[in-house]
Amino acid sequence: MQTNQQHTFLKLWGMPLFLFVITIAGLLLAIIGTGIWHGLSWITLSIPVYFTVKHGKAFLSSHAVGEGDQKQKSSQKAKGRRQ
Amino acid sequence: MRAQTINRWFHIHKWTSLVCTLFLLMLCITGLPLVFYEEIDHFLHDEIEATPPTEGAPHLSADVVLRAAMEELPGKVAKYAFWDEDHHPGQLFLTLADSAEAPIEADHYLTMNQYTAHVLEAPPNEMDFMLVMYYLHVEMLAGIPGKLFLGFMGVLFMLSMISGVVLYGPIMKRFDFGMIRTEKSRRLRWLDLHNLLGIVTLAWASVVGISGVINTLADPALEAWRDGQLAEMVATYKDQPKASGEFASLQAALDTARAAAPEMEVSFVAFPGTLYSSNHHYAVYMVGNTPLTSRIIKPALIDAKTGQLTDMRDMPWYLKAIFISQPFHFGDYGGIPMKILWVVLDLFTIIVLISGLYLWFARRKARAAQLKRVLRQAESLTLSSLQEDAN
Repeated sequence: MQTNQQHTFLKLWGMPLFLFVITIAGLLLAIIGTGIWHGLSWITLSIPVYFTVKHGKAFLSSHAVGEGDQKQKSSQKAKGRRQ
Repeated sequence: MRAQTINRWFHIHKWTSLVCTLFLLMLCITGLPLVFYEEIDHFLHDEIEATPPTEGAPHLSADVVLRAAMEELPGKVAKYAFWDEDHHPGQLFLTLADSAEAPIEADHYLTMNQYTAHVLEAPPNEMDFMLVMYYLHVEMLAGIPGKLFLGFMGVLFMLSMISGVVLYGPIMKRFDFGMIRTEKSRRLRWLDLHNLLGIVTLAWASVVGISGVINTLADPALEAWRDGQLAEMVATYKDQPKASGEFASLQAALDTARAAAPEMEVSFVAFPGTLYSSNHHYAVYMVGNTPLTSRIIKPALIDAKTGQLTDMRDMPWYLKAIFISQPFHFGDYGGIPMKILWVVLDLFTIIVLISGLYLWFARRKARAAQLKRVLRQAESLTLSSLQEDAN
């Protein structure tokens, strides 16, 4: 039961927490110094942008997908939900 | 979470957002060009460079450069002097106005060559595109009240973010991160986008929002410093009239300040009577010379008549907080790639605001349609019952 609760907590808040910490770290890295610190900061701050594009592009592509793809997609999602 | 609790948070989210959204949109949009202020300014105006007349020639005394600037704009007084050796070597930036107390809108800016005391640039004292963006962003062209009002909108924005995070839990409980339901209704698709972008930009928007709110308090904070620590530091000058006439050497004041804090560099000088100084002193603001310590600012107060060091203290915490928060608002401390990331995250935030507005409209429309349906139903029921009665 305990582990199950932990599991649902992480499933819900894991990514938001990860992105929060990563963003703050990226913002702080660049103030520590220049050179390598700037590079690390850019890489770190790109992570939230990457995840936004990765998931967010579904919003744009939804117009373009054909009828068949849509059905396949929704059945995949339904599967995901059942798990 | 109980349905009633969720409902309460929903109302907090709705109302805090509704009040601040249009102002936040304005801030996000005017902020976009401001991120690249330096670069756009360079693009709009010719690049200027201060080249030494001969290889390795020394800078002229600050007094000579200042005098040349005062001759360029006769009848004005100097308010501030800035240096930026990293980006603009050999240049001295001067702010002049009719009086030390003149509002910043009336300031004139001069860029001087420190090798030759020639005027490199004297832009006309008028609003160009970037300045309009700047004043809209900072105070909606409405002075200190406008600034404080925007600070209050920032506080509402914080509340709307907190309530948004609270609502994220129950909404996303059964779904995977980043899910966007495209096959259901248009409203759900927008809601999912709103949730995704909202949670991704949360940390960045919080940092930029909080540092922005802190910045809006700069004027009252400076007032408090003038009435508090600064007044204490210049207590012996209390009954003297404001320093006027010929001032002591600026160059000597710079040298005195450097001698008092040898491990620091001069950032800027505030002349007597300005917001950043007393009525009797050059305030020479010293900063640390490493990326970390460059946020530590210490003003050396130099008597503008005698040139003697009166006092030098660490600034109070509330002014430190303002100076330290500034780079986190501007995003100008990590090179061009960071500025690009700043713009991208700003664009994401704009989408969060617009999608939030769309969701509010769509919900209202849906509810109005529902109400109509219920009314029509009730109407037909009444009609049928009337008919029944008649029968």
